[in-house]
Amino acid sequence: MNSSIGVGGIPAASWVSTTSVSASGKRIQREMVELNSDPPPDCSAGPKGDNLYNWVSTIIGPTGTPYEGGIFFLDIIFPSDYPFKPPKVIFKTRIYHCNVDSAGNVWLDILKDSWSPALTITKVLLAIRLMFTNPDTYSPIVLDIAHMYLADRAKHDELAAEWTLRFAK
Amino acid sequence: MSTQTVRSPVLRGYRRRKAVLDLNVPPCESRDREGTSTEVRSQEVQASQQEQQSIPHAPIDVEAIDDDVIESSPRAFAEAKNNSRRNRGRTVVVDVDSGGTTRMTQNNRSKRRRVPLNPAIINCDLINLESASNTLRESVTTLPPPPPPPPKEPTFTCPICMGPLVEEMSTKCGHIFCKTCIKSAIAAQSKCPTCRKKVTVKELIRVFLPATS
Repeated sequence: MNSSIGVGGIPAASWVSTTSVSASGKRIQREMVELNSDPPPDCSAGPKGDNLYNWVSTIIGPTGTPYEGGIFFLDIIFPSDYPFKPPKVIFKTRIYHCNVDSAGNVWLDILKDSWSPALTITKVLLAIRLMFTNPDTYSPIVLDIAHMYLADRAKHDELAAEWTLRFAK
Repeated sequence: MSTQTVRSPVLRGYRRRKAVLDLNVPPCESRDREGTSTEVRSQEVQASQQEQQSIPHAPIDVEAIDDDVIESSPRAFAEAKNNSRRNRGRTVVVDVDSGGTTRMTQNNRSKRRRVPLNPAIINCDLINLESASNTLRESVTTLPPPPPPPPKEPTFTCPICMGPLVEEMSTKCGHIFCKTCIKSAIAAQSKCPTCRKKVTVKELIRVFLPATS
């Protein structure tokens, strides 16, 4: 899965040679400082170990959602050409959500085509947190969950709460 | 009652128009009005109370206070003037007249700068300033004004590298980045990182930001 990303400063694409790897490292370090000084609500993130390009993050399920009270772990993997390519965000905690596939991949537009190098991990975490409260049912990755959300919201919320209780608590 | 309700808006409109025209008349006129109609009066009191509340918040600048009073309705003027009689310290509103004179003296002063200064004018200025500062002190004791925000030195960072700008360049949509950062960004996707408008390397403009110190 990680073969195309080039974790840990190994350039994955040929054009990367124009930007030094340390530029991405510097940027990630600056983001880390910013995140520590002003963390988004109910979110935390930081490097897993020595590797600056491999982070672990937690998001607490927002109140008023079926994910309330759950603690969701995410892996964030920065490509070596970050911020010109988006980070990869993977749910490590199972979640019943129409925009997260069974492998935990987050299907958010800003993590795909709508990525911009001016976006930061803080903004990505905020977007994921917003995804909890407002699932994007127009471009779902798990169609069944999106259908359930639209057809029977109560049932959807019940199932999501059940998953939260089982996997995220 | 019905005649009152029909008549009063017309009356009020007329009075208001008139009042706006001559600002120095209002105190006695407003009392006139208070006598004629209870309905008008209650509205007036409400309005004037609202405006009265806003008066202590008036900025430090004498001219700003001056402007405030002139811009706000003459009712506030009348009410505040009555108030000032009761409460000697608060003479903010009287400055409508004295403010005019200060302005005049300021004009005079600027004209006479090259000529030896007239001591009388300086005195006049000083007195006005003092009275203004006295009223300010009054308002400080009654309502503590919000602390002035410390002047912040603007620092510009590149949204891409999040560091200080190096050889800053602007896109045609006006967003500024480091030269190397924006070139790499356009190589990855030809969109402005800030607004996502289509941009090309050719259209980049080198810009020079002024020094911050």
